[in-house]
Parts: sequence; C-alpha cells; structure tokens
Amino acid sequence: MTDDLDPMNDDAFDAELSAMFAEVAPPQEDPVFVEQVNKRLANPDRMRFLALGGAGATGSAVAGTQLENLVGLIPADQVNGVLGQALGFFGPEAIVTALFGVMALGFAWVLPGMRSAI
Amino acid sequence: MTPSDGELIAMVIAGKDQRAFSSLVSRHQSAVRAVLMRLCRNAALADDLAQETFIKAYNKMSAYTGAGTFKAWLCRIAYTEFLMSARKRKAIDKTMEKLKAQPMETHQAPADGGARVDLDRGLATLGEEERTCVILCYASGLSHSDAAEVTGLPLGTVKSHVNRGKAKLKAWFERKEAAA
Repeated sequence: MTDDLDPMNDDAFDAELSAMFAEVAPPQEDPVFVEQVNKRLANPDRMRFLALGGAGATGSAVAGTQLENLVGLIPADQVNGVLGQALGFFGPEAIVTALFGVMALGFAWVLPGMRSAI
Repeated sequence: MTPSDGELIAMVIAGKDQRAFSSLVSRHQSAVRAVLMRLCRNAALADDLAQETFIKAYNKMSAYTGAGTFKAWLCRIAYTEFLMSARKRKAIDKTMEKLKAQPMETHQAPADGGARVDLDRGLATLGEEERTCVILCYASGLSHSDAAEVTGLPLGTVKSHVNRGKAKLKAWFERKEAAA
C-alpha cells in the first residue's frame, strides 16, 4: 500500500513510471494516423449504405405492390378533387410509379445526410 | 497563433470543418492511442479503436459540452470503444491469433520492445480497475478527476486504485530487478 511507501521513493518511482509510459507511447506527431482518420471520414461505411438502401428498396417494392392493389380498388368515378382527376387521367399504375419515384428521391435525399449519423 | 481546442471544436461544430478536426486529431492522437495500446495490449487493434474513437467524436462533436477537458472526453469515448470491443471477445481473440502470426507493429522502434513488454507484464498483474486508472493517468496524463469522469468511478476510488496500482507495479519491478 502507498501508506507504507517512503514518499521520496514514491516520487522517484512516479517519475520512473511516467518515463516508462512515455517511452512506449505513440509519437506526438503522426501524420499517417491523421490521414487514416481523414480517409475514413471521407469514405463512410459503404456496406452500411448498401444495406440501408437495399432494405429501403425492398420495403418500397413490397409496399408498392400493395399500394397498386389499394389504388386499383378506388372507384375513379366516385373520387372527387385532385386524386379523382389523377386516377381518371393517369390510372393506378402511373400513380404508383410516381409514388415510387417520390420514395426513391426520398432515399437519395436522406442517405447522404446519414454520413453524420454514422 | 495556434488555435485552442475550444476554437477548433467550435469550427468543427459550426461547419464540419475537417481541417480543424485534423488539428484536433493530430493534437490528441498520441494520448488516445497510448491509453488504448496499454488497455488492448495490441497496437493494431488499439489503432483501429482509436480511429473509431475520432470518427465518433467528429460525429458527436456537438455533444461535447465543455465540462471537463476535450482530452478526457475523447478518452471516455475511447474507453467505451474498448469496453464494447472487449465484449466481442470471440472476435478479438480471433484477431489476436491472426496478429500473433504477423510481425508486430512497424512504427515502433525495436528498442522499445523490452520496455513495452515489461510495462505490459507489470500492468497485467493489476486488477482491472487499478489497471484502467493507472493507464488513464499515466498513459494519457489525465488528472484523477478526469479519470473518474472517464470511468464513472468516484474520485476517491480512482485515487486509491492509482496508488495501489502504483505500489504493486513498484513491487513487481523491484522483484524483477532482484531476479535479474
């Protein structure tokens, strides 16, 4: 225990221990390490983007097939307003395609922004 | 004039200034890597965790409130990274086995080998918390209160761990010298 140690000896060992740690410490300047960190910041984990993008695209495809059925069930002649006009003019396939386009744009917007979250 | 840590941090938070962040990395890499190298006892793994530490720090920079030193904040992230990696023990053991087959780090002078091995062997004789506290205070030069912040231990506990660890190391080195 330190209480049993001679304070002068303890100070000497303290300096010795600090010197031992300093001797085996990495260099104060290491441009190679800094460069490696910069590279990793510039190139975020591509696998994660691919996994997220893949999962999102699969989810959109599943949702899209259901959406087409759902839109197809809506009687175009009974729907008023913009949706009614769009259904009558474009048909359910075109509307689902447009929704897919919006979702794809959403992924394109969100994924680059996720760099800061990784 | 060299900008302070606070000024560089403000530049990173304001505009994700990568040059300012590089200066912070350059300034603190030695302390962070020194802690991780002694904790991991494996230079390659320690450097990987150190890189991860700096990337997390960059992404979470706005969470740094200025309470405590920036170095202590980085060391806390590094210590958390170390604990997380230690939980993945199986993966680490595999990596260690692979690394054992490879030559040791090239950036360290061969003359350091003996000192490093001695210090790591001495540190291995300490209890886990003693070892962590001694490493935080001596490898990165953190104060006892900074080490208490990093580990989440009470200040008095950190002080006694450091004193006890130091006494054990002293006895270990004395025994080693006597045996030589």
